[in-house]
Amino acid sequence: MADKNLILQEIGSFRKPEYLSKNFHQLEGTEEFNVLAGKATVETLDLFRKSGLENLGVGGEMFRWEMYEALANNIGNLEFYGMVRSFDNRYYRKGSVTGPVVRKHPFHRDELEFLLANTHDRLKLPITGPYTMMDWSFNEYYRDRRELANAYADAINKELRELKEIWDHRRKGEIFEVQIDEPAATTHPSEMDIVVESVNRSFEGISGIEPSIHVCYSIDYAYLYNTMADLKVHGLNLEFANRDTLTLGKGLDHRPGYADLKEYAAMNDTLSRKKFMGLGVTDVHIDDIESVELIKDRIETALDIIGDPSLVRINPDCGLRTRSRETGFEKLRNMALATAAVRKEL
Amino acid sequence: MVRLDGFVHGIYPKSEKLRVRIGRWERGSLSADELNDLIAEETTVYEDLFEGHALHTDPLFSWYDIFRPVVLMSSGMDLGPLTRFEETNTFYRIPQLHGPPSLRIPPDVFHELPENPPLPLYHSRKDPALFLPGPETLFRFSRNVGNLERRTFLEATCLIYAGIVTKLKPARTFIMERVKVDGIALEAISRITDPSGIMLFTTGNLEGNTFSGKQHRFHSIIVDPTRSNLQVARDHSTVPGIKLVDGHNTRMESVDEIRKKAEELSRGMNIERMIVANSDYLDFLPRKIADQKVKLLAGLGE
Repeated sequence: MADKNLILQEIGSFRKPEYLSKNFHQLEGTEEFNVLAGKATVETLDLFRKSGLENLGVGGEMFRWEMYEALANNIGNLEFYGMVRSFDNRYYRKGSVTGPVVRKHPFHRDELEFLLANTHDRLKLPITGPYTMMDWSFNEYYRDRRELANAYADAINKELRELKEIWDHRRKGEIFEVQIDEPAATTHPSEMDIVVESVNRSFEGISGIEPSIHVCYSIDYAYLYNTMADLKVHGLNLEFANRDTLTLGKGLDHRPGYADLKEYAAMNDTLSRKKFMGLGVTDVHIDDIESVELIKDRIETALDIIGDPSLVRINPDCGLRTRSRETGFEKLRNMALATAAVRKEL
Repeated sequence: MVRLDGFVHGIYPKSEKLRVRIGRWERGSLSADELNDLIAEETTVYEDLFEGHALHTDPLFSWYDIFRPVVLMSSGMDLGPLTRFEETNTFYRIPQLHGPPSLRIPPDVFHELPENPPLPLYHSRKDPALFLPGPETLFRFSRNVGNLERRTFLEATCLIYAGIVTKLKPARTFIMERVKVDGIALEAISRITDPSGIMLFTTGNLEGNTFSGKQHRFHSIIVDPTRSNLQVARDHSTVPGIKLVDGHNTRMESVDEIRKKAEELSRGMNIERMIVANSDYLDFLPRKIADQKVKLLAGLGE
């Protein structure tokens, strides 16, 4: 029987095999694309299983190129005028909202249908959140940022309602786990009320789901923790390893990256319904494979602060798409080995 | 009716051709010399957009962020990790301050830099306003690992800037302050060059007493669009400037809209001439939209 403590989960993306990535845009929308994305999904699910993961997400997001475009390409009145710089010589596509946000096509239906037909594993569907979609778009139409975020929330809500029906068709009675991805959530601290309002609106009226939120590389998670009472999610999946050191040792003196957890734990104590913490224990931006011992130190440090192991889930900081498949696998495997070692001592 | 002069400043979005070539340079398949030549060519293409109208700065095609070349040209500073730039979805390498900075590489000659396209700092041939990041902004956006005293840093930075201005002899020097400036910062800035040639980009609500008591007037103080800011700009600069073209949104302003806003803001202030500028540098926009905004600003004076 599956252990309810320290559930091992992934966060979202994983490096695509070359046969899929090299012609992704040319093939997208064709039958051949679905075949190749399906093949890559099956291979990645298998890799995840071998690594020891218990929740296999959506098999590494093989049907999606990038989190913003996955939604933006299927939304009406969103125009792309060209690339916009992120840093140095790195660019991304940022759309301009020129009219009402409307969902033209389903965002993730094909992906979910494929998964439900091909695996019985525990799954979690990541979907880009309304606040991040708003923050990463130019607004030429709506009166303000709140209105635009809520318009995206309505489109996401429509999508989630349809996905829930598809889910129930195959897995009736089983909770549908949905992770809303909001990397922009804390970038404008004065707008946390917009984050809460639009995220809650995305899930409004949908029962039988377990909503969670993923945030990474935040300037300060305290902004998020302060919203925990109002944010209608069951858990937070966050990045921590990136801000930690690579030397061994337990306790916050050795694990500075996990210091924030004290604020989370204090806030969680005030809630009647506690929220779980998806703990980032491996850094997705470095090729170093963190040792089992180091990851174990990180988990045990977190457990000392949080206490109840059923409130802790174990995951990488973010999607592993920036690492090779081999490196990604090794990071996940060490994460699973470390978790197994901690569970033995619980 | 107030006369409006368009002004475009700061890092400008690159063409696809230039982006691709910089990518090749980063991978080592294009030499720094070849890249430098292309940046000069692309700068000419940019300047042609103005057709002789509207003042502008160099498009800064060789600047990876608004601080980096200045940091790399100077001793006393180095580059820290990639850091979010204000509340935007863009990132910069945070400068780390170790000691009072001084210029170690001349700004006007070809010189390869680590982690940034090569110098020279500027490629314009049409005597544009010379762009420099505000010394106060540089201080506030940096990690002060050497515990430098602010005044010491501001004075040393302005000395570097004075050296650059002396060498390049621009008609105008544009200083971009993205944070509030006080009397100490203003004093340091006014020593970079003759203040009557300085265009000072300011942020937030200005207080008149920060500027009062000074002997000099700046050429222009460019302000966020409120009447009280414009009043300070009128009182302490020859040609007050106002930010009326959004550098963060693809929505296109119209000439009528800008004229109307400028008239409203300046009503009763006895202003004959006013600069209209972009609210932030246009590198936050796609090139196609930035080009349209440049044409709009270039056409304002007609």
